Amino acid sequence: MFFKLAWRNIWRSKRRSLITIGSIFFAILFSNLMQSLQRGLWEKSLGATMSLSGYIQVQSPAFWEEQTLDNGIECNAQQVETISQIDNVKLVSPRIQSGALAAHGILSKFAFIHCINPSTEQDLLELPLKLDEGSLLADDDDGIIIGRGMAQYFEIGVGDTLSMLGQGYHGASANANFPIRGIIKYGSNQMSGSLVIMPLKLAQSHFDAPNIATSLHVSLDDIDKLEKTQLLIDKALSGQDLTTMNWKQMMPELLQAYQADAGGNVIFLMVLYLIIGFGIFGTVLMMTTERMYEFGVMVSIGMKRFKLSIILFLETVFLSAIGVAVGSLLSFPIMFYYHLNPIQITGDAADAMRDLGFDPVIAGSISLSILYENALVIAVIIALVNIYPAIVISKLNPIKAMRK
Amino acid sequence: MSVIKVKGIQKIYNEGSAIEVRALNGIDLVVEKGEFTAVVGPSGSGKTTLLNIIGGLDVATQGEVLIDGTTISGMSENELIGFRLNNIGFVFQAYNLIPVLTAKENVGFIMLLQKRSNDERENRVNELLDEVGLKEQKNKRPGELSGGQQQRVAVARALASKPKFVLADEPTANLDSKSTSDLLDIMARLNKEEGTTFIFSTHDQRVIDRARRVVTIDDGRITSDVHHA
Repeated sequence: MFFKLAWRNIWRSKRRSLITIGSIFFAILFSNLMQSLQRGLWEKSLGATMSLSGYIQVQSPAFWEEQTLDNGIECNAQQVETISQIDNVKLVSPRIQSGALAAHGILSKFAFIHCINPSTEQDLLELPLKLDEGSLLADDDDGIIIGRGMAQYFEIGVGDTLSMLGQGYHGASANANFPIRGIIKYGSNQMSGSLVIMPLKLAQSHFDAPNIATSLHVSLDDIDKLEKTQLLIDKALSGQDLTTMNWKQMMPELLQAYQADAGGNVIFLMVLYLIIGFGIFGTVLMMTTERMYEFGVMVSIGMKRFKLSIILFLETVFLSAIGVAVGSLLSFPIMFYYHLNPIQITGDAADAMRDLGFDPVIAGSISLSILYENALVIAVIIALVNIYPAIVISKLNPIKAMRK
Repeated sequence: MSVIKVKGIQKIYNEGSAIEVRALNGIDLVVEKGEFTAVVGPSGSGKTTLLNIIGGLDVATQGEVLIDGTTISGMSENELIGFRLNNIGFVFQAYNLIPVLTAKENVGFIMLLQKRSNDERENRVNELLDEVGLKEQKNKRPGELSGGQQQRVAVARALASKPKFVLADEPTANLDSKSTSDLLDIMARLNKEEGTTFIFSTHDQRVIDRARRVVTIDDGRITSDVHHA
């Protein structure tokens, strides 16, 4: 009966209820879409960065201070298997990351050599999507893939040869020519101009480092469980001369940039929810004030005050639930649309994003936590707003209320 | 057997201030089970205040109210709400039905608060709506009923909890002659057949004429108390 009473009460003033539901609906719609695009931008950017760095790296304890091949680790299939079995671990990839001087003709520049197992990791790096020209690599390939920026710098294309001059494992020289199999587009200008992707087997031979990797890169299913997964890996590797680092520890400046952006977003959302909060409060205020007489009657005939408060609480819950449900149901398809059809940024804005190391693409995030979190904010607003009628009802004098 | 016993009730508003008002000034009253009593008097005489204190809606400055032998004077607000729910039926001047509930739901509402079973509620509601002649209107909301019909629903609601007595504050004030007559017939029948005790505050001569006991109040005191045969 209380549910029935509350439900019918909200339709006593249809226009007012529809306006309140509408304001909640638009707040949910806007905040869901805004957060979807904001998170999507970061998910995409972090995803691209993490595909190279891994969310977690297993390294030699000396590696982080002096990032050379000499501080690499021996690839151990048992180790890889142990980490792969840990919950939330998607893929464990032994990789070599090293630098060299790339040269072609009279030109030379720094090259960031990233060595992968092509058969298992090309998809992770989205190489099929990024490939602009040529072909992908095979595990036993003797060629390389380079970024479009580097190809433009050297004015070379697929089929040309790029020289790599560097130092190998324990002082060995690592100089060789590599045929270019493919050229990829990379959002970040810096990476586009310096990235060289090489098969791991080829790299181990080139650097004279058989079975050596600079680190094991760990990809995750759920990035929200980053720290928890790192702890599990630490536990699994205890007693071995290895250490783990997550991306927040390896790239604190990226974390700060993310937090700063998310912080700005929070301020905007707070303003939005403040407006909505006052909107709901206005409705509750009216619903309370104009029904004092009725409340007086209900208390007179024997209705306990807290039950009356529950009815009023249910009324706001119904109003909000409708607004949240409709807002979420309508915003999710839009979020999904932008997830499948990202907004392509062009012109100066795109250049600015590339300079920051981001792909100039904003894809909608479809993380359900966006919907939950915004619904939770509305729930908190309802709880706060309902303090007022609860106080009014607790102080209600039925005789005075009925006199009014 | 007395249902209501009021002993030395005083009600003073703004006590000790310059605008002190003595609404009731030493009222003693005993109402026996099955009485059909009208409390009459001019406006401001203290009728409504007396009914509010008997009904546990207001608290006397001094004196004691016993309902069926239980003193309600020292009860907490929450205890009073529970006491009213299970012992007293109210009929108000302005009907005061819950506008979003049907006649049937309004009558059953009090029994719902009493946590009575669905079957018991259904039977009692149908029985009461039949007695007040509104069985056919049971699914209508108050806005779809006339003033007289609404007040008959209010009477049915007041009786739903099987109270020890019904307090009716000016129940016919907003009704036309026909509706007043119908309502009085219903209440008189319920009083006679079910032994329900009714106490009215009223100005209405038609109600006074039907009452078997008329208590007159003036300036917060009982000035006459007449029993009719």
